Amino acid sequence: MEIQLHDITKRFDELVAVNDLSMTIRDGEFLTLVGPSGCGKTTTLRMIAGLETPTDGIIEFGGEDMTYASPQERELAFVFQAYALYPHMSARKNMSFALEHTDISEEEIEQRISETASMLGIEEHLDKNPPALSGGQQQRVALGRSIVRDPEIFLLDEPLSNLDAKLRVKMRAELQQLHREIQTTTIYVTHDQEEAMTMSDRVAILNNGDLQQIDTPEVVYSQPANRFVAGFIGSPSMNFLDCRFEESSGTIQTDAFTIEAPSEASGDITTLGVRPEELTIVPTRDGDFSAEVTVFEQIGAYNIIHLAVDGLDEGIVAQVDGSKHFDAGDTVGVDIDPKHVHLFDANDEAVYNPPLASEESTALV
Amino acid sequence: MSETQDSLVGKLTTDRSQLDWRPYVYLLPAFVMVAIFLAYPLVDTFLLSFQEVVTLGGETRWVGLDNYVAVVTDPLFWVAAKNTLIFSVGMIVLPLVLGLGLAMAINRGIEGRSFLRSLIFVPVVVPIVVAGIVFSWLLSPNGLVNWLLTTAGVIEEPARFLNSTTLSLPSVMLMVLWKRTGYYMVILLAGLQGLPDDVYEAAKIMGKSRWAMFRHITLPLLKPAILITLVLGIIDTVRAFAHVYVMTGGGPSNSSEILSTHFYQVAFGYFNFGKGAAYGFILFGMALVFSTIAIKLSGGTEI
Amino acid sequence: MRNINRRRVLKGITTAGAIGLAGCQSGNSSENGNGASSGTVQITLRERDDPMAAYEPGFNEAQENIELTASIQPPEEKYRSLISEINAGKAPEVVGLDVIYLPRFVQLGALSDLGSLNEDLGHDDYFEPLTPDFTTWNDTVHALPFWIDCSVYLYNKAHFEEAGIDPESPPTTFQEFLDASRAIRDNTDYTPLSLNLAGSNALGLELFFFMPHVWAGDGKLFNEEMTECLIDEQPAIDAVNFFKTMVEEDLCTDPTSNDTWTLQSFMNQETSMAYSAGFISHIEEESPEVWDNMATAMFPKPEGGTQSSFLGGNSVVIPKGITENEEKFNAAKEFVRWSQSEDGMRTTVEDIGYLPPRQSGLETEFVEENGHLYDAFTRAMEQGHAPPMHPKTIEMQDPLNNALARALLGEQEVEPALSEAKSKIDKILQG
Repeated sequence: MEIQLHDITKRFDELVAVNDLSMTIRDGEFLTLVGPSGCGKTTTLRMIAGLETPTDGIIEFGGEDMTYASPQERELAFVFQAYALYPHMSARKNMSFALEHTDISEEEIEQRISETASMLGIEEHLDKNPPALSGGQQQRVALGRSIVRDPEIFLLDEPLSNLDAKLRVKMRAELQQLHREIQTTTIYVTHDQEEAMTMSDRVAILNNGDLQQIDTPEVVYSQPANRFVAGFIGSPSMNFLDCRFEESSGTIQTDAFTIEAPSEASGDITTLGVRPEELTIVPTRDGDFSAEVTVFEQIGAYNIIHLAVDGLDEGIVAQVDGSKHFDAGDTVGVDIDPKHVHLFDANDEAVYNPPLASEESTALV
Repeated sequence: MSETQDSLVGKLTTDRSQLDWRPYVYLLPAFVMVAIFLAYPLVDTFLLSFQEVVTLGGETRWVGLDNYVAVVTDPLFWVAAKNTLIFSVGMIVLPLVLGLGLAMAINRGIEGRSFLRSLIFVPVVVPIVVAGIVFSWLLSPNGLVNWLLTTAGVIEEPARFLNSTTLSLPSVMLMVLWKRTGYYMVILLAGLQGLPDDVYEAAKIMGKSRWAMFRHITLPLLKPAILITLVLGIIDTVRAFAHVYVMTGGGPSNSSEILSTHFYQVAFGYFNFGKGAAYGFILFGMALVFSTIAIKLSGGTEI
Repeated sequence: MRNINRRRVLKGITTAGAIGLAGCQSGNSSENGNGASSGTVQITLRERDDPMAAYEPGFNEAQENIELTASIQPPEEKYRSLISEINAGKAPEVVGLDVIYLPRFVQLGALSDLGSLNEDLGHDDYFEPLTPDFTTWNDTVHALPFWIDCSVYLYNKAHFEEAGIDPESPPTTFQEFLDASRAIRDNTDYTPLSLNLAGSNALGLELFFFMPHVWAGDGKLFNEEMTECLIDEQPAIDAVNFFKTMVEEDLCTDPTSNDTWTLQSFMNQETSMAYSAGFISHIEEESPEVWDNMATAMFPKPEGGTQSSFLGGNSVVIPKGITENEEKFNAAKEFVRWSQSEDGMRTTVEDIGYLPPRQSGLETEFVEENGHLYDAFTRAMEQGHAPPMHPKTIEMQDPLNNALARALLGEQEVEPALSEAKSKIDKILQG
């Protein structure tokens, strides 16, 4: 089922929660709405579900206007952040409750529940009530309750945020697996950019009710449309430095150093963005500039160092190989690959982004 | 000799280190209060229920179960029991249903909800004796209710609400309904406000009707709150006294006599101390049994 | 409204509290036991209404060695706490005991023997109906009559004139009373009679107002041997029929009403007659115009009967435990002695507004000045009846009240209603 949002606006009294939002979610697609809290992502999801009505705009399901349709008419499933399970019903009853008093026969209900339960690995817990289940098991029951209804559209509102970190990673994979199996149009809301990046076919980034960018995870990572997306996607966050573009010399100048500008660079460039993983630590004399290590964070597979640079007000963050170790106070050289920088104009719009990694590698071959 | 002493000392020390007496000392004041104000009178009354007071402050006589037999063979006891059962509809059922309806309306967010909530709660704060007297005025032959009914032409002659063998108990129940609805409403409203929105939204998305949501979500989730009101209602029904006493005194011709007013008459009006004590224990047992049944029937074990 | 409603509130509050405390015999101690250092003995009098506090100054001014404190508690609370106090051995030294409770308290062994005191006093002018009922149970004198209340009817002479009835000869028989009432109904705008007989809030009125009509026809609540109730006999049937006619012909206020303060409508001049107790002095202040036009008369009687009245009120008693402390016992006896004296009786009549136990108590200037009101009272004291004396009289009120209510509400015929009452009272007598 394809979903189209046309110029959707939602106001709560004075507050504009969603502002003139338009997007198309393709049939069978896994789309993630991501953004900081208050960005309008949950409101958007609730409008798609029919739990809220847009102040302006049109919502279409498969070309049919559903703006004012009841949730029931939309034939969709919604998984809530706190699961919204019925504590007084067993897991089985939670799942069958959705189907009771419909045309579906009892045998059919039984069958769907057992199929779904085995798909989710909760067969043994079907007769327990939610309070007796762990967070992950409750999460699976909540998913199962939605799946048994065989919906046209799957809506998930931060479904993993109540789980601990380990379980979250596991459930992430399971959800992807699930989506591959049921192939239903899925809209997933999260504030966690890592979830968005790892699970989605496409990611829509919202901020203050405005859509910032909607594209594949690779594109929003490599070619953020603006400084907000650039800063929001990726961890640790991109380093931003005030800069000037010297057109005559073809250089980008910051208060601390000057680097060669990418050949495509042009126009009014005010901010230089470099992802920590694109910074290379080299011996002092070889780098574009030198810096002092202020904090060293041992992660394992990779490590993170915080650097202070003479002439820069703010520190910068670099990601280094897990084998490398530094101590606070060490002085190091930093090398910037001019091809992998991001340049933003005064309006924070991206004026230069590096090519996609996938395209680069093709080129190399 | 010294060996014995040593071992004795050792024993005492270990005992002391094992038995930490401090918690018991902390509990002592509460324990003493309970013993004096609860346990002693309870036990004393229990013993009294098997005795007959021969002389005041002196001689008593053990009479076995005679007092209990005397209570349950008193025809008025059964009249009062039947009336109490009817009365409980006004004490429990009606205000519970009405209170739940109002709580749901207020919880849904109707206009002026806080004003409405206060308004409905006001009767709860009015002392029962005052409420009884006000309702007696309202329902008296030249009271407001009769004036309204005769003016509107519903009835020709003023009705005798309070001294009528058919209307006296319903009249008291009307006052009780007025007074208790707000009480239940507040408890149920607190329960409703504790229910998450998302379970209702989930049901909405499943396409459940309002009735189905009420039946399968609101009622079961509200069960603890309903159980509290139910048990409080049962206990209050058994203890209800001034409600009837002030408005009708149990009459006319015992038509509004309930167990507690009859109990009062037996124990304090007729100075039948033993029978009164037995009666008191029967009431105590009734409150206990009915509350337990209510809890068991609802499948809940905790309140 | 005032008095009764205030009392009703208190009743409600105190009795509601009692339910919570059922069986908890804590008992607050009275102000006794603190021996007087200055040679005066301190004693406490327990009474039930505020006016009785007047005994405190009355007695204390009459002598020097004893200091009396009046402790007033409304009836319900009074007996509950009195019982716990007697139980705990801390009873007040003197108690005004509603005479109807005398047999039950004697039965419970709660009262001391006042036989020798009575002999010492040697008064021979007690109103006849008071002895032995106000004093004696089981052939022993346990009490002396203290202050007496009697039931009479009040009438408004101006209303009588307006209705064409001679105010100087108020009706004396059922028939005359009905005729007078009809005259008032037909010739004036007034309701003839303020009446409450069987309000369920008003247990006691069925004895106080109804029984004199039965006694007037020589009927009784129960026989001498106290084995059988006689309330189903003709005198009672006649009496109920009299009231039933009053009700059916709209000649009185609702006698089963829960509003027991019927005197109010009489003071407001809405009614021309009112069944009343002897405590009427307050009318002078509350409604002077009515007071000036008012007279009292004894209740009507059946043809050939004798007008009667219910003589209630309190006897004065000394709880049993007091005898152990000779000083207190003597002081208590001193109060009893004073209460029977001319001085004590003057307090009862003039300061409190009730009637004295002895003839000489009514032979005062005050009574003479108010002769038009006291005539009926004096006659009531002479030819009235003490309450039916039995340890369970209180229990008999309920069946009688109920029978009257059902008969007067028209829910049951008079005779079956009374025979139902009889069988219930028989059970109480035999139980």
